[in-house]
Amino acid sequence: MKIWHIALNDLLVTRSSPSTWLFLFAVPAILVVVLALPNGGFQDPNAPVYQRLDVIDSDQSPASSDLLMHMRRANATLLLCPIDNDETDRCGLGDAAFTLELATERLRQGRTEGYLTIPAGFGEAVIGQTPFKLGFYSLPTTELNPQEPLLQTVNAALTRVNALATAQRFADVLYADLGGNPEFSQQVYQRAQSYWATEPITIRFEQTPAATINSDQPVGFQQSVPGTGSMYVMNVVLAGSVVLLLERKQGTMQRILTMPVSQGAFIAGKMLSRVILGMIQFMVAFAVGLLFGTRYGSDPIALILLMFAFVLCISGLALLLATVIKSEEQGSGLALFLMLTLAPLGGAWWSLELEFIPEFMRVIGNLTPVGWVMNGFNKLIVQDGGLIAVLPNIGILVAVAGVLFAIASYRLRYEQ
Amino acid sequence: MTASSSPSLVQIRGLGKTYKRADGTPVKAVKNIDLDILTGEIFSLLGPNGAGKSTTISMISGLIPPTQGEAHIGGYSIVKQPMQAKRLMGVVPQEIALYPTLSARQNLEFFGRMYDMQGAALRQRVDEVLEVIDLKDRQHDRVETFSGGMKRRVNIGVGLLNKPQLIYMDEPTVGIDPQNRRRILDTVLLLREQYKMTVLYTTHLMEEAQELSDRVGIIDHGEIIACGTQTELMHRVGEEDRLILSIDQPNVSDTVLTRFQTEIDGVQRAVCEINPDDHSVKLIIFAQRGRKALPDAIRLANDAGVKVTSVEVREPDLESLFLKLTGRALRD
Ligand SMILES: Nc1ncnc2c1ncn2[C@@H]1O[C@H](COP(=O)(O)OP(=O)(O)OP(=O)(O)O)[C@@H](O)[C@H]1O
Ligand SMILES: [Mg+2]
Repeated sequence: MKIWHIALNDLLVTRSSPSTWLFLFAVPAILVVVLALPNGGFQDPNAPVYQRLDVIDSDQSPASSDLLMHMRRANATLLLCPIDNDETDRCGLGDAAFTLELATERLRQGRTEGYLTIPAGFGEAVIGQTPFKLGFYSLPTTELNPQEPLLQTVNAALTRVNALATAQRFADVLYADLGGNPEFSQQVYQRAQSYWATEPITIRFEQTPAATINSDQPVGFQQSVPGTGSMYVMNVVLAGSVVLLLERKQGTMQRILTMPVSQGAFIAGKMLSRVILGMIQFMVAFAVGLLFGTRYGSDPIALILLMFAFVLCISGLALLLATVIKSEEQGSGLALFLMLTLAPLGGAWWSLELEFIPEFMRVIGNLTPVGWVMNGFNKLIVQDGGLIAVLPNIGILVAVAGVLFAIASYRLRYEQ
Repeated sequence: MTASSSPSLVQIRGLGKTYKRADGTPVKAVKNIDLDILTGEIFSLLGPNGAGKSTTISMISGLIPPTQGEAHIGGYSIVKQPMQAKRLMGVVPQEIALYPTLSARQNLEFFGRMYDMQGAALRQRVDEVLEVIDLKDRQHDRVETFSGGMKRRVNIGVGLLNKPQLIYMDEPTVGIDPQNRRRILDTVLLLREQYKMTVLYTTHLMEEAQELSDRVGIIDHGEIIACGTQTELMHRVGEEDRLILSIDQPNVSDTVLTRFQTEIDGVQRAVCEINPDDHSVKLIIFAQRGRKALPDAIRLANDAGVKVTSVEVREPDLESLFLKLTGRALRD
């Protein structure tokens, strides 16, 4: 009961400081959004991703629009620009006039997967079955940037257009040779088209967008919410070490210890308040993410247990820190240092799974509490795992918390 | 042994504390103290800075463990039964120990809860304490906005919350103006008269000890060098008056000091005292009858070339006892 009142009083004191509101709410909230940007921005990992293909259709014939129609059908992820652009400017064209130069430039900048030119005369060439060349341009194929499917899409569409034209031409020849109905060739064409519409032999191209090729990687808010949360949990919980020092300095701790309260109860109360503040901090970060539609997997209990284990672990660190520091400046300095090294090392700023992170950094990161908790968050949020999946993470966090508290208690006793 | 069966509420036996400095050298802050504080009295522990007053209070309030000896509060050992002992006492620490960003009332309510008070009883007790320390109108203001004297009063108020039988007050008047000091001294007297509390009061001001105390213990270098009622203590000084000559020179030679003793009738001895703070120098002459010796003393001073700027005759008091026992002034 007294422990609870000591914790409540600590929260009251914390609340009375204006910087609390700034660092518990405002700064982390902003950082959640800001850090979401370099981690993949506002991209919704669940939303369909389009492959842009610029099309310069100088022919504008029924055949060319047939071709485009078949391309769309063959590949649902294909976005033909500027023809299929919409009011949200999915093509990313802005106000620029669409020209061949622009298409070339866009491809070079990697803003499109390629471009297709349909020179005038395509329609006649199809009907006449005369040789004709379309232009398809793309950047050299890389593992991250496979162009193969795109070219296949064009080819598949072209095959159909050609096949239809062949059918029609065949009908024309039949008509001419056998003196059939002039509407006959039209009928054959339509019949052929309806056969093709049932798509007896097409391949469906479903392409995975580059950013989510590795589905283990968090994107945007999935990274920035737990990352910022973990970092600022360290901020508010590690501040507990300075709070303990301050209590000693302002004599309030000594005063409480002349009352019927044990030192253990006093410290437990102070730590309880830090645990509460740490959990509030996580809630703030996760609430901001919710505002932007972030989903956190399907096991909220596991999520909360994981958060709690991390907060406990950092509380242990805070108490140990309190037994070391000699001044407030030293305390805040050390806390800031720990926060600013452990956070990026452990993957709070960016995912350690990213391609460019060297292997040794990944190893170091996975030796820190931040690494353990971020790894757990990834399992729950990105891979949609459950409690079982994060039990090892929770286990090691709680175990290390226990060790830290034990060392801190030993030092506190020895100090006297 | 219980609280009611013994006339002494606090029994201190062989109590001592040796601190360790950062470099490992030991500091004997309190040495082997024996002391009894009787139920219902105001007991003053009088001693200069660093004498060991706060260390003693810290030990008998259960804050720091003694390195030797033991103290019993109302029959409870402060070492072995600290929780029971602590329930009997209120402590007013020397430094203001409050949460500056909380209001006076929030402070009082929180510390009240540390004594298991709650609800209406707690609210009522806080109201009463606010009445005693006369801060009802400012109860909702943050303590950091208070004057030094007001903070001191809240500091005292916290010590009263649990209606203790025994209250320790460690130099509660340090650094405040005469008006607030008066108020605090009146409160201390009120605690004994009206609330029947036993008070342990520490100070380095002999006037305060003289005004308040039933009994006084004089502490120096961690030892109790005298203890008793004021009459008993005065008896130890004898009938000696002190002639205090403020002089305008850095020192007086030993030969001149001996001349005062040998040449003036009734003078026992003379010492030279330098105040380390303002470096003022005083020549103190102990004489059986001060007023009678005064003209001769001034004449001799003139003879010896000592420039006297002012003269004062003091009757025996705690100051002279301290001087007599230690050869040093208590100072303030
Ligand atoms: N934590 C400590 N570590 C080492 N020495 C200490 C410690 N606390 C006090 N001392 C030393 O113990 C001696 C007694 O100190 P204490 O505070 O008890 O004196 P005091 O009589 O209360 O003095 P004051 O009138 O200045 O408050 C001093 O010499 C002081 O320097
Ligand atoms: Mg003191």
